[in-house]
Amino acid sequence: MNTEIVISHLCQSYGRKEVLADVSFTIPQGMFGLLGRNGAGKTTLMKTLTTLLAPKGGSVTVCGVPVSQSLRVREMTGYLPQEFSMYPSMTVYEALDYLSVLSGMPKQLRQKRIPELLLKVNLSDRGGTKVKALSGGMKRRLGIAQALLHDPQVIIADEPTAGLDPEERVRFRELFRELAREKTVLLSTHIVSDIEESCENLAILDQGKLRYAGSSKGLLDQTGTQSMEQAYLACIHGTKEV
Amino acid sequence: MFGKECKKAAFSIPFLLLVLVTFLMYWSQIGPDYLSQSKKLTEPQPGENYGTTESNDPELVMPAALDSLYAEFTANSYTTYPIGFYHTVKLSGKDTEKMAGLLSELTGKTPEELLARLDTDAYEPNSVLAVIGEDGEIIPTAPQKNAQNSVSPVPGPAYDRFEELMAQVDSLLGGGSDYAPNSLSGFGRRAKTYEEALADYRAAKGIDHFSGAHARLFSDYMTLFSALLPAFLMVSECLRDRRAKMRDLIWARRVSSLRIAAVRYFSTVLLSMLPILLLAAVDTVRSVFLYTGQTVDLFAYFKYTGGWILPTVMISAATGMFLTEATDTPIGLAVMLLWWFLDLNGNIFQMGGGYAGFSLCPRHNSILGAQVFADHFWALAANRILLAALSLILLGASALILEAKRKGRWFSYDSFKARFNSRKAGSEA
Repeated sequence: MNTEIVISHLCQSYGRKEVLADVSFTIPQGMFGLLGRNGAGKTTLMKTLTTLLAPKGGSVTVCGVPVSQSLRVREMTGYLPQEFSMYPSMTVYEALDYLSVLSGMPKQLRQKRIPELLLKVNLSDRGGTKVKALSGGMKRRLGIAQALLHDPQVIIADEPTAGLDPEERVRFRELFRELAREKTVLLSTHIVSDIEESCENLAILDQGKLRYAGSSKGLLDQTGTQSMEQAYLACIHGTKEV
Repeated sequence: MFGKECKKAAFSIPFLLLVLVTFLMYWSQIGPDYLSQSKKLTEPQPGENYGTTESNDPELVMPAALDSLYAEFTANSYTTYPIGFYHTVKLSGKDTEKMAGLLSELTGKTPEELLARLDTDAYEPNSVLAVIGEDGEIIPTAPQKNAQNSVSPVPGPAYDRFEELMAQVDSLLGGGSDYAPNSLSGFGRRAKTYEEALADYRAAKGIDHFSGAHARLFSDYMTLFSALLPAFLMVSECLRDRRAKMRDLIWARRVSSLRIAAVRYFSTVLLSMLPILLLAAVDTVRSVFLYTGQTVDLFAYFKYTGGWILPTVMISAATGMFLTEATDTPIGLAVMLLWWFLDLNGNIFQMGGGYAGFSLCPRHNSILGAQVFADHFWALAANRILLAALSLILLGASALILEAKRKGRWFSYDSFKARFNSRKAGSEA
């Protein structure tokens, strides 16, 4: 099965402001990092991949399906937005149940899958807890769970570790690494260490332009630096696309 | 999904408020009294007081209408209700002369004589049409003439011509006056006869089977606040995803926009109807007990609830949904409020039935009038079907807008925020 995401000459804009300019790269199966500072265009790119923004120019295919076929793409992708929550008065189980109904899952499958996912994200003792009573880390884990409900082939997580303590961040990385064994996991962040630890491949965006796309090792080699952080800075400020 | 949406909306403060307001309005506006012994429809007996009725009897209408018009003419101050709102018209010199010309033909006095009476001391109409009796009933009286300050219709002109001239008067005043041909019967109020009262009773028995008469009054009142409350609930549900920051989680899922819109819409309609249906059920039982020994229509309340109230609920929810999805604001509430307000005032002249065209809340504020209802049934049916159809069109349009928003092709609060943040990030860089 084709598990790649292919982005070809993608352009996005909000009004007259160009947010993504002629971005082209391919995301293979496994863990892929999307690095860039605030306003680089990461969220815009991710929303395009999840069909929440139609491309203004260029093309995008997810597992061989153009994003214009939104229904099929939504079946294949699980999205964890940067900012999200759920109905505060719902319990964790109710919220997942509600979202799984929206994913078209039959009742028996939901009853099997939800407990499995809660166990996976270490929330199995929180099924009856109201969403508003969850901590930030727990909400993030709930966010991962909802992204995995329909067992999508592609997981798109926008700044999933933002606001988490170091211990939670490590836990998240482990979880994503495990998922990436069989799926395509696209992780965006502005924290270099998140990518450094877990992503073989990455892309760097800056002011809507692609600065680099390829392997982490390749970035180090081409910038002649020893650390990802230095490599990232060289890429952004250095001036040239790598 | 429908069950989950119903549950989600049912356990919300807006729904709780909807239920409370519905019961409160029922209690305060209709009251349990409307199905009490004192309001029971009984066969009239000869010699009773049967209340009053409007008539087109020229002998009553013409002098009373003319009297009123002359009083307003001399004061150059005419009361109208152009869109149901009270309005005072003062005519210019030229229009006053036109009015004098019309009055001249109606009364036989010359325009000069009439114009000479302008701006004289305050003139009080000399016709006392009714007094309030000891028990609060309205007792019609015969009009009394004041020989010094009065005008009378010119003998001879046909009532048709009188109506034509009054229509011109109404037009000169900008419309909405009591002199419009379909309002003139208000000047012909008189005591109802035994035969008329008996006809009303027989219509209530034969057409309404008694419970239908009460159900119609129930619908008249309940429709008034059913025009607003569903919009309130619908707007709240439409904005809930944004408030809960759940939009992206929902929009990125495979469920179709039509399904989201339809399920939320119909769950709102159902929930809005629930307290009304409950009241309808209770009042059906009460009507059975009130008319023990007589045949009542057991389904009257449900027929009226479904046929009369439901379309108003539907259009209220649909308008709320459409405008909320289109603008991401609660402006739907303001629009429904305005529509409701204009409709309420515009229907002042049709409180006894008639059911004009696009009316949001058709009125029939009387327990009687079964024959009026029967005579105008198809006008009402057309009105209700039109509103129901329009609400489904708005539902479809809402689904289209939602689909466009899910692809970033429509203005939404989130896209506005994204633009703002993008601009801010750009300026910071």
